Amino acid sequence: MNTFAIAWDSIWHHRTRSFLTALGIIIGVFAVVTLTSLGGGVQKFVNQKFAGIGANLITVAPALPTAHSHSHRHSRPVGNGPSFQAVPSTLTAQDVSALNHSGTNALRKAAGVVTVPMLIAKGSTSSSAGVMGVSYPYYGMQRMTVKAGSLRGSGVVLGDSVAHDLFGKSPALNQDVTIGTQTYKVTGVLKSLSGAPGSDPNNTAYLPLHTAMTLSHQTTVSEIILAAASAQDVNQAVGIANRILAKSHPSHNYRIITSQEILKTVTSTTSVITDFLAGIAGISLLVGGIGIMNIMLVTVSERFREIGIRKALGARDGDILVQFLTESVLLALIGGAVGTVLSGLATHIVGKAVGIPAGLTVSSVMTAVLFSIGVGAVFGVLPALRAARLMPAEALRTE
Amino acid sequence: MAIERADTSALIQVKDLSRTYGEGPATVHALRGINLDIQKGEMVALMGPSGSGKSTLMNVLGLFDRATSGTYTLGSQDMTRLTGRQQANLRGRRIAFVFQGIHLLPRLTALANVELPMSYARMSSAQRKDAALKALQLLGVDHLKDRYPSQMSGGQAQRVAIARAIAPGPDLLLADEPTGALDRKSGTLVLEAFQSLHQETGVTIVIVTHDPYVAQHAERIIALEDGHVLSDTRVEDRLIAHHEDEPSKGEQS
Ligand SMILES: Nc1ncnc2c1ncn2[C@@H]1O[C@H](COP(=O)(O)OP(=O)(O)OP(=O)(O)O)[C@@H](O)[C@H]1O
Ligand SMILES: [Mg+2]
Repeated sequence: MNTFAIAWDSIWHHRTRSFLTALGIIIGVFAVVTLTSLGGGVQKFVNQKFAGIGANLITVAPALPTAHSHSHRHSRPVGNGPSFQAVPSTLTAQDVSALNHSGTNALRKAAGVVTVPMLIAKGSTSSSAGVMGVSYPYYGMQRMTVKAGSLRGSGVVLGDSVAHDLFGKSPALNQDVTIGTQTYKVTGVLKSLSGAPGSDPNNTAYLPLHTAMTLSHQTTVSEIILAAASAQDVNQAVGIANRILAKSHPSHNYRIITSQEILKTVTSTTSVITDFLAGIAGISLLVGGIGIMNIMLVTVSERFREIGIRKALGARDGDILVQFLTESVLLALIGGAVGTVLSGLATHIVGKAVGIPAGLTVSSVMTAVLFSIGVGAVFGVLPALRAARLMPAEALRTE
Repeated sequence: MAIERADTSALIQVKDLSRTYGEGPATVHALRGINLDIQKGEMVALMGPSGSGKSTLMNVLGLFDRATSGTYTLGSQDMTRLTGRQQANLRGRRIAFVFQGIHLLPRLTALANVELPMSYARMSSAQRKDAALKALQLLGVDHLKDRYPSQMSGGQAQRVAIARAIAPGPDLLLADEPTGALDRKSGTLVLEAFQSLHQETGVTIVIVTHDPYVAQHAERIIALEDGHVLSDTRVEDRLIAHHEDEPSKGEQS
């Protein structure tokens, strides 16, 4: 006799009851797997977005000096300590130039970025767009391309929505716009870009770096973006950048942030949220487990006679224990499998609707399976022990 | 008047066996010091009024229940000292049981039912199938091997149950009112099955019955009353007595 066959037979015999019991597990597994899969999807989405702007990018930002320390401060997470803005910048166009000519393969390019606190307008129509000054390599780093004009011009490059806001459907190229008190020609219009984390490039107007610095009377840049040759070269590039910057910044009043670090912060935040939600969903799994225990206790008392016969025929306590444990584990596994399949469907549909690459992962399925087995085993032990310890005479008395 | 035998080759030796249920004033003394020897190869009928302790004794002999005090030796092994696991290993193999009701598992075929004790004994599937078919044949029910219990008559089912009991080749076959749930005709068939089994295999049989007709087929009749052995009669003795004064006695129903 096959233990598995006996268990299946019993579950199938009480189909309705088994289904209702499994439903608890179905819901629990569904909730846990769906949440973790969606969380995984969000994470994948974030990863892809970061890969999109380049995992090879490094940001140099101003920071308070670290007097005697020349250790790499760049491992400090974003948003920690005094805020970005509060620190007066010390990074200069010379730094940009020095970094741009590192003469190494690992550190390929550097681009200065300056924020211009002014509005852009066409006549009396103003826009909510931000204005930035960037050096030319910036466009390439951010994978920006033009749909009209060029990026090399001396005028302003408009993001897709800025152009639309100011000029509607009519062409913006070679038209005049005012920024602050100055008037500039539109020399380029960007192709629409899907939003990268942070600022929205579609709603930004870009001036050449020096033009922007002169316009806003700034002598320093807000930050410097570096491009390493590849994601693998980031650490080496950081080392080179530190060496170059150390000359002009002996007090180390800057910090270096790699996209991996930003990614790490975002990732750990999403995973904390996902784990928290999955934990809450796990409570329903617990409730499902109690349902299994309940129904297994009923099953055992219904089957005293069968247990008695089996023990009279030489079944050991262990045989009976295994038989009932198999049944509860199988029941939970069926629930887990159905829950996982439903969750796969739901994750797929929600992922499609929201636009994140969510789907079942091997690890989420494994977790669901192991969880189901665990729940079935843990909550099946008590009823199974009760069955196993019956004396045959006792079990056979109840007819 | 229990027969005292000094025969050490007795298969079963029961000494001072007691079984009580419950505690305090509600205590039920189901067995009050039973002494019995049963020889290998005997066919014994166990009789007595309802509540006299027959089933209780059978349960102890079958290792379904533990005695409160006294000893029970099977072969040379003290059964009262065995662990639960050791008892389980004897159940269904050395000691087989046929119950009053039909105790086949409803969702197994006749063949699977007969194989069950042997599969708990971890016998190979070829071996147990072989033994099961032989046992079914011996009881004349091998044509029912693929039927489920619900597709058999009571008599057929009970014969399958007997086949299940004897298939592993037990030393001791216990039957507690095996014909109790059957009509006379199928009861007779089942009884004949026990008799021919006894003759052909020489297995030791203890059979509980209320039916004097059934008891007549045994070699020895042990009568219980209120947890004591009231009488222990060999059939030869009884047949002589039977000749002397007509309506037979020593049989209660
Ligand atoms: N589990 C139990 N708990 C309490 N009392 C019990 C239990 N089992 C049996 N008894 C009592 O023990 C006594 C002997 O019962 P037993 O079943 O052995 O009688 P029996 O001779 O088999 O009767 P019957 O011919 O009706 O089957 C009875 O008084 C019965 O009520
Ligand atoms: Mg009885």
